[in-house]
Amino acid sequence: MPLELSGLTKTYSKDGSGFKLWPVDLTIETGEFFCLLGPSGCGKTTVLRLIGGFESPSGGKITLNQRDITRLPPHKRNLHTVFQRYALFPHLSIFENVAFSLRLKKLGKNEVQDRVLEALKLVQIEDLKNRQTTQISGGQAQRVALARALVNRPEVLLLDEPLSALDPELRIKMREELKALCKKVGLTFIMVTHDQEEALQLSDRMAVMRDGQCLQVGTPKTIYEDPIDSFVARFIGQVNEITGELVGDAPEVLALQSALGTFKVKKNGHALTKKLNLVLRPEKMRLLRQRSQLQENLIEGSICDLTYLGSRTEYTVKVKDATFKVFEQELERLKKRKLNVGDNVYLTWRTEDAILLNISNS
Amino acid sequence: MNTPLKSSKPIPLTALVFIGWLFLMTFIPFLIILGMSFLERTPLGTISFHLSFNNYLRSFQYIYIKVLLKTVWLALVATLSCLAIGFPVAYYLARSRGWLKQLGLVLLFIPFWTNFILRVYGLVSLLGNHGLINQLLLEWGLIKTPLEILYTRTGVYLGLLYNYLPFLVVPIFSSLEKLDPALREAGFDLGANRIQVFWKVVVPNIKEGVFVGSLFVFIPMLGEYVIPDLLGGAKEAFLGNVMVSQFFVMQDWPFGSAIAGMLSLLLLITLWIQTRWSRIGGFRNGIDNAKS
Amino acid sequence: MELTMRKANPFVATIFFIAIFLLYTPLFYLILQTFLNNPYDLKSGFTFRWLLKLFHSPSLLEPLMNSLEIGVLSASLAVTVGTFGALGLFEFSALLPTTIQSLIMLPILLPEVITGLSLLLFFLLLHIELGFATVVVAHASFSASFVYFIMLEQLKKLDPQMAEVAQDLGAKPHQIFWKVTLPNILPGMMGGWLLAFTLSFDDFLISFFTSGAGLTTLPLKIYSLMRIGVTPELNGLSFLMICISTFLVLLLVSKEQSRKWVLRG
Repeated sequence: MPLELSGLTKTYSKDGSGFKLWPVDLTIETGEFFCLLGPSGCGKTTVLRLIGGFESPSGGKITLNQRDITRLPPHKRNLHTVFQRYALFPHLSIFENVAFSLRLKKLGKNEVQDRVLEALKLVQIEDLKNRQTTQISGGQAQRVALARALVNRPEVLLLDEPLSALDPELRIKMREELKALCKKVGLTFIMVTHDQEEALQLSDRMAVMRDGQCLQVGTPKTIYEDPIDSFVARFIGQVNEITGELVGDAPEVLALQSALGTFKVKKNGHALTKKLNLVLRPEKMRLLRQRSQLQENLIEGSICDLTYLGSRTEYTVKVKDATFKVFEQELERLKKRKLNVGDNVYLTWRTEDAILLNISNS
Repeated sequence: MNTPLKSSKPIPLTALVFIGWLFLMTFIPFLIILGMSFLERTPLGTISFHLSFNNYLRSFQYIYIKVLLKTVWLALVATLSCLAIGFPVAYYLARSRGWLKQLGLVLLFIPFWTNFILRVYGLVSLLGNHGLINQLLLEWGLIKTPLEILYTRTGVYLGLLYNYLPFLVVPIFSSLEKLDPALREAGFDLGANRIQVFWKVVVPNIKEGVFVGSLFVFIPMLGEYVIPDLLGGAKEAFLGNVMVSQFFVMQDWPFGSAIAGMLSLLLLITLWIQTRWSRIGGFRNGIDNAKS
Repeated sequence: MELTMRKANPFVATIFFIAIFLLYTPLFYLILQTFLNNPYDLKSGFTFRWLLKLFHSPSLLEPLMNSLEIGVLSASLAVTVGTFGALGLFEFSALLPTTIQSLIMLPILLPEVITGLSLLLFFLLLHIELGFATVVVAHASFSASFVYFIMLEQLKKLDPQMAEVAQDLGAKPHQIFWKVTLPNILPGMMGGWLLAFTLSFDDFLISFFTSGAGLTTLPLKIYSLMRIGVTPELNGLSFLMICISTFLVLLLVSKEQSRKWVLRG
């Protein structure tokens, strides 16, 4: 029972912001935990609100389980939204908050009782049922909001930055619980977030958005290791970039000529222009204490800053005008000579770890 | 993502009930009185529908200008006095904590919620020739004949001060309450002393609220009727009293209406000055601050 | 640091206590006079006579009942109209044209003397007989704007997502209003009602102009008694009314929820 968005667009013309959501095509599978990730103003919340039925699209179609829901009001779509600030009804108790939709449906007293308790049990807060909304913590409010949405047994649950209002410790804990909840109830979860770590940890698949466009859809691993452009690469994790031009025309392995030297690169589907960025993840680069003849990609530089972070050490290496971030795992570092600020080092990487991308300006 | 402003939506019917109500019950009556000011009273006492500015020209006579200036002057002096006394009172309340603050607020609100006419009556009986003040002063031999306070300008001034003080303390107090205490602490932290923190941190942040609060005391004072009537007598009439006597004693409605027009103009000038002065830009902002 | 900052300036504290003292002197003097044989002689001795006389004077009962009835009706009318206005204009409150803004502010800014006289002319021109109804309507005409601003504040505090959640959970527009919006703005409506009632109960001038000959409210009665001169029963009445306002303030302050409405005044 997949949720399909085809050619979904939205233009705001009246308020003068000129925001436009470019046609979005997405298929989200049943039981999938799907994240919409992007900086603020990228349109991720708009997509969620379009799915939720709080905005109507300027064009395109939304189908849930082959049923066209594009023009249906929110409650007829068989999906529910959990809002960022939870929006619990302050005049109702926790129990009545969760029972709200069941009471509207005029269900029998016993059924309401059973279903509310079932929902509260699902999020592990049965004991709070008689409390008022002012008497619970942020994490508990989050659970109430979840229970209130789940009690109606929707096919899809939409979550609008549900963890952003929580403090960091609780946020990490709730991530695990959300993921477990998704698998336990077998529903589709679609979550909006601007926190890349959250998206990487929670998603089965995710979409990275920017300026009203859906840039890339894929598993966290694909997005991280094979980003479609420099923006996606920069948005998820840290990157080092070398700009250069391709030389030669060998079919598989090419050379990139840059101000820092000529490096071997592997061709991929994303890089099409002549001027390109070579993108390197800090944890995929190695620091050599001395020059090695065996390495094919080698840059000489000096350490200008280092930060010890326990499990790893982060080095900033200055090479000519550019700086590089390099992470060295503790286990690896201990085997080698200790480095200090000012030391001369050599940076190297495996050709297959370098990602060749079009230059994107952001 | 912010939700877009729904400016294109039509104004709902419920709003029209309210706007229609205001239009019918406030705006139209106000237009009637303004319109009346351009008509004339015939010698027979009826009103002739003959458009003229005569009433306004008449109102520029010395006696009416004198009343106007006196009204503005007394309202101004009384407002400034309210400010001078009200500010320390509000400041003390805002800076106190716990039961003292609760008690202070209760003490402030009891007169606030006591009937206005009664408060005036209390003052009349206190200041009168046989009132407490004169009784005590005579008793102690400090004076030989009773002090004439009632039915003098001083009486009106004290009446304004007494009745409007709580109305100014409250907005100053709430402006002070809204001020983040961290601002003061930051001021101290940056090396300012108490006086500097007060003038350079506290005052700039509350002056808007204080100004609008003063305005909401000054404006009703301009239109005051009861206080000059009961504490000042005929000699110390305000514009409002002259207006009422034109209506009910002289039976000259058009001229009474012209005085109302004058009073409204005075009000407009006051609001215009406020708009000019207001740093954030405008009537609406100032009003919003006063209301919140 | 914190300790020195909390300590009040002795000068400021002195002004505070003097101001409070002076604020109460006339009120206490009224109470004191109630129990003096001769209200204008401090040494004339103690008596309950005036207070007892008050309870046997039916001339005060009627104005009191009139004031209460007018207060209740005009407050209810003002809350209805003002709440309608706030509900309808809430979404637009930031974008309202200046004309509408000024129209809403007009009853608050206009001196009571002008409001009263213009309403009097209005009623006379329409040949509406002055009396109970005109006073009720006149009071509601200015208190509705106060209610409007209170309700606007209350609505601003409402989480707009609440209505969306309710919609998402299947509530129809009228259900959203009755089951979500209304319960949450009810405290504001009560506060607005109380304010409108107080404004009406306290009002002298507008009643003075719009009541006609036959109707007397409590402030009107006090005014006419004052005009007559020394009337110890007036002091008895003052004593009672001060007690009532003290009781009301204490009642309101004891309820944390309503305290902010008192503060709003």
